[in-house]
Amino acid sequence: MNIVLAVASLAYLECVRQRVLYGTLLFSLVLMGASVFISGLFMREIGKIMADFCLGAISLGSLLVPFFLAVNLLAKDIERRTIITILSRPVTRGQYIVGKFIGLVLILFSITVLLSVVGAVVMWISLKIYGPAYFQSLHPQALLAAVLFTFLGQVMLIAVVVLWSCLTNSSFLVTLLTIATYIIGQSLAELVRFMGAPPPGATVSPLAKTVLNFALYLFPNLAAFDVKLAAAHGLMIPANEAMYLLIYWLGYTVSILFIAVFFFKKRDLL
Amino acid sequence: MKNVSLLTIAGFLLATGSVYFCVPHLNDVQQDRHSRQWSVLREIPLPIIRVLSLEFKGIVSDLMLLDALAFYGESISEMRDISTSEWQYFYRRISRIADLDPRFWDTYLLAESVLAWDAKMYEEVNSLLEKAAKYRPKDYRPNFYIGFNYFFFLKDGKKAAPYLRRAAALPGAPGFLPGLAARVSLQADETKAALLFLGELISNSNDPFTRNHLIKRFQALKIIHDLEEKVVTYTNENANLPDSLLDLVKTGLIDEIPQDPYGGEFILLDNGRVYTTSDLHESAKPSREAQQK
Repeated sequence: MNIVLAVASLAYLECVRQRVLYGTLLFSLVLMGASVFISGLFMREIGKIMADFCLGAISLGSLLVPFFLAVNLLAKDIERRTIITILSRPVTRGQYIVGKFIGLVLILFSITVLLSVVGAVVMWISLKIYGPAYFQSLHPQALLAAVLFTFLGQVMLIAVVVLWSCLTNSSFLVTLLTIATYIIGQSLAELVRFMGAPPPGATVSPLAKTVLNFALYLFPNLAAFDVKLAAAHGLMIPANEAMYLLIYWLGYTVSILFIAVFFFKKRDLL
Repeated sequence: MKNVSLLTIAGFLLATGSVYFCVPHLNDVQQDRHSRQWSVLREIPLPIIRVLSLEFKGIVSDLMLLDALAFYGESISEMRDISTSEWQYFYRRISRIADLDPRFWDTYLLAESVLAWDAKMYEEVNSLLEKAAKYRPKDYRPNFYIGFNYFFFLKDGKKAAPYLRRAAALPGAPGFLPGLAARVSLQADETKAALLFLGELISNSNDPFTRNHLIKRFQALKIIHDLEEKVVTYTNENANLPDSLLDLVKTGLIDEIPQDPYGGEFILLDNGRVYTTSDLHESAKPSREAQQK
């Protein structure tokens, strides 16, 4: 366990040194700051607009971890053969993968907490500027739940990046696969719903339906973790839905990590 | 070295100057194209918009509404008459936003303030508000607005009354609603009802542009309401309707016929109601389509 934590803390420190981290954080902070002025252009639901932009900025900022940091940390380690130096020490391949994953989750957690605190401050400033009448529909618990589920969704995506890094040598390919996974994960459930109730006159082939249903089990259903829109209207996620999401999240993430470790152990790194 | 520095400064000034020169021109040149892009955007099917929005559906719906507000604001500031097809684009855009985020109240507020009052698309606005009533079951405003549209615009008090009663039973409903529901059933006091409604719309609006627009309309309606009250006083005193509003001036009930904030002229109708030739709209320039023709 100590070895896993040592790898995790090294991975965390390595991420903190990446310049792209600060650029993206700055972009998210600017987006949150801009939302104070943008929301003033609307007629009534200023609180909803603020919540949309702040939660969106948190998502955008935390997407940096799977898209850039995870790829840099894992795929480039393998691509540049620097991994061999680490694995020549008493570190098993499984410990290496799990350690890196935990390090990435920790950096994701730090980014999410930082952006959430800034988001709360920005919303408070907006509340002072426009008055509480425009923020009545907001509930802090709903906003916190949205942030938590966004975090869990990104953790799943990080697990998939770990898997892609274990399966291929090229960091470019890992980036492409991660972007594809993200887009599929965000739109798959929507497509399945559309196929289930196509517009009048449109026909859906049974094969396409089967493929999509199969893909729903294969790819992470990231859209299910997106409860930002409901939270912006002050709606809490129902308890049973939250429970299913947590079980699904735990099951999917652990399964993907098992598969990643399995393939990584079989892999020839030389 | 000195020459090089001067050259660098000159180059920099030229570059920034060209940016300064281009920004307003680009804005003017692209305005027409922006209007055409609207027609393309409205055709994008909803499932595709939903898929492309990824996890940012809230922000996408906010920006789409901002775009719709900008389009309307631009038309008003240019005092340009919006053509029927442009209103159709506008309605489709609003519907798309309502599909993307059906709980977003500003969408319905814009539909009521603009599509009902300016475009006279009452049925379409009511169908949007029905959606609002479905997704905002504890909000009295959707039912209130539907009821008002039936009463004031469609002159159907029977259809209006149940909506107003439903609105009156919901939390936060203004105290005047039960009384209004009763008056509506009798088809009485339309202008008064419109004033109450506009007051409610103004209190629901933060955006200064929309707010000023509504306040202007409120002021014009208030003048009509006051004039109609004077007509009633004249009728009670003289046992017949005045021939024109000038009779109110002659009998000293008013000092002069007031100015319409929209630049129209107030006229007394045969039924004792007061009408303005502006129809509570800005005196408009021809629409872009008409200009092109």
